[in-house]
Amino acid sequence: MKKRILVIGGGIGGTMTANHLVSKLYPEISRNKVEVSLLSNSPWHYYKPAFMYVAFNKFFKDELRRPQQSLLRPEINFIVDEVESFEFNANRVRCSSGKFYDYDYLVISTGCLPAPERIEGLKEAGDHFYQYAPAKALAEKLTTIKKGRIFVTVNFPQTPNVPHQCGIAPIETTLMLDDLLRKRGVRDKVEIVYTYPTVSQLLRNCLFMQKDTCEVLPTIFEQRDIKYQHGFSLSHVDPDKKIAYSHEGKEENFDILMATPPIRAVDAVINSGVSQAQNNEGWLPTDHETMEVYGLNNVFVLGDTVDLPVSKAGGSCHSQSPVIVNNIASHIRLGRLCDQYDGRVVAIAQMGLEDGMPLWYDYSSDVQPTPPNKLGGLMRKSFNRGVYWSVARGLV
Amino acid sequence: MNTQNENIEDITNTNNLLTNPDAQEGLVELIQKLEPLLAGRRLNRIVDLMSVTADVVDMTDDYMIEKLCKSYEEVIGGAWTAGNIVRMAGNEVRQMEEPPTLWSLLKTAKDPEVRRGLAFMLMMARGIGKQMNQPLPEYD
Repeated sequence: MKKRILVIGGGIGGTMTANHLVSKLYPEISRNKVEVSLLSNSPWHYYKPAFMYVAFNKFFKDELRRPQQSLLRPEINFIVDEVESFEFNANRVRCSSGKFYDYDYLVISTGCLPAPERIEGLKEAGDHFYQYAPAKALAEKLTTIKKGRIFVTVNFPQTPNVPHQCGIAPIETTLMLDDLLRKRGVRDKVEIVYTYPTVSQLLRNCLFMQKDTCEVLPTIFEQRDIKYQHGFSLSHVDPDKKIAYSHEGKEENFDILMATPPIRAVDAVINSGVSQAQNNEGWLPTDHETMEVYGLNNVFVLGDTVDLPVSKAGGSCHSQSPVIVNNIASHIRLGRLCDQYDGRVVAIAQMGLEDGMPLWYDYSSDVQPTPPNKLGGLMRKSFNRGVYWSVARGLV
Repeated sequence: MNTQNENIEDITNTNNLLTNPDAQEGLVELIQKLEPLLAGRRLNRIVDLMSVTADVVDMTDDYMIEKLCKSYEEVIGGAWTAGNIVRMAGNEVRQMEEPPTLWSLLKTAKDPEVRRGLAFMLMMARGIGKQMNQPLPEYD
């Protein structure tokens, strides 16, 4: 009987997994023993990290997206529809079109959503760069500000030891901001203040979620005259007075509030009732090695939807996806799982507009920061403009 | 050439090295070459290149190697197959004394291998069609 593998989500995790599944299971697919379907709520595939560049006028919309179909192997059954609910007991999902899709194996890669509305006043007064429209709106402000104060805040999920979206992004954008304002010749009239909350995963009162990076940041910031504060956990914002208040009792004025906002899983995942995450955030309980969802049969999850302590970023998907592919393939062929995720995350951080810093870490070792350089920056730019699409196609 | 009796201290002893006039001359030349590179921060790029190379090595894992090798095999395998077919077909066509008539061209379809090849072309058309079975998303 044909095994049906259903991948939910047309982001980088779902796309590379669907392509890799076809490659890995081609002997079965060619004999019609396995079928791979990808369900996405959009006919477009967006390179999400490029939204950050939109805020600095470095990417146009049509440069950061491709038709999803053009990134998929032809053996994949691509469906544009939105999952409304998971019916795990019946091994099927129900979509907004009213259709049901059955599966034998399910891969959930539905990402996460910025939720600035979860902090009073943040949606009205804050800006972020994690989606296209907000990034474009932020670009307008960054391009026109002549003097004042840009205040950077980072907000973690309330679920313990779960990071915010793309761990390094607040540092990347703070450094890019400094470069942009220098290029515009207004840096001496605009103060940049980078802040970090008291609780950042397992660390307390730091400037980053990992200790080694945290220790080099003051030097980097001081070289660029960027002010920094730890222990600022955003409580609420007064949009009229333009003041950000912290749980620690501080209040800070701003002209631009550049925030890494709270995040949550998509509605269908939250409403599935499987999550044990706090604050209705919806992260799925994930086996940190096999990438299965605890308590469910043949259901795997990757990317931003997991409750693991690793970065919610494409660099995590890249290492999680092959584990899921191997585990599904071995379950079909051998009746057991064969691969384990070691927490590996690989990325190239954009450290200012020109420089880059390759980085990697896993469950047992943190990032070892190295001096950012132009070659690293060229690597990142090459990835943004070309290599990413090969990664999505499952070629790299 | 160092003798086997020399130990590591002898080999790395700078004084010994600099007593060799050829080595001194070479070192002077090397420093002269390096000086403008150091002044222009261009030598830094070489260090950066080594750093980035080391990063790439550390970032590469078994999964990436597997995917890259698969891509390599597909590209090379496809090119090799296509090359063989083009060479064989070219050879056959070059041996024809006269270009085939329309009728004789049609008669070649009696050959089951030709029909299989034509079927392959049609299946390719179907694959292309499947890739394009969704209209381009609307630009907004």
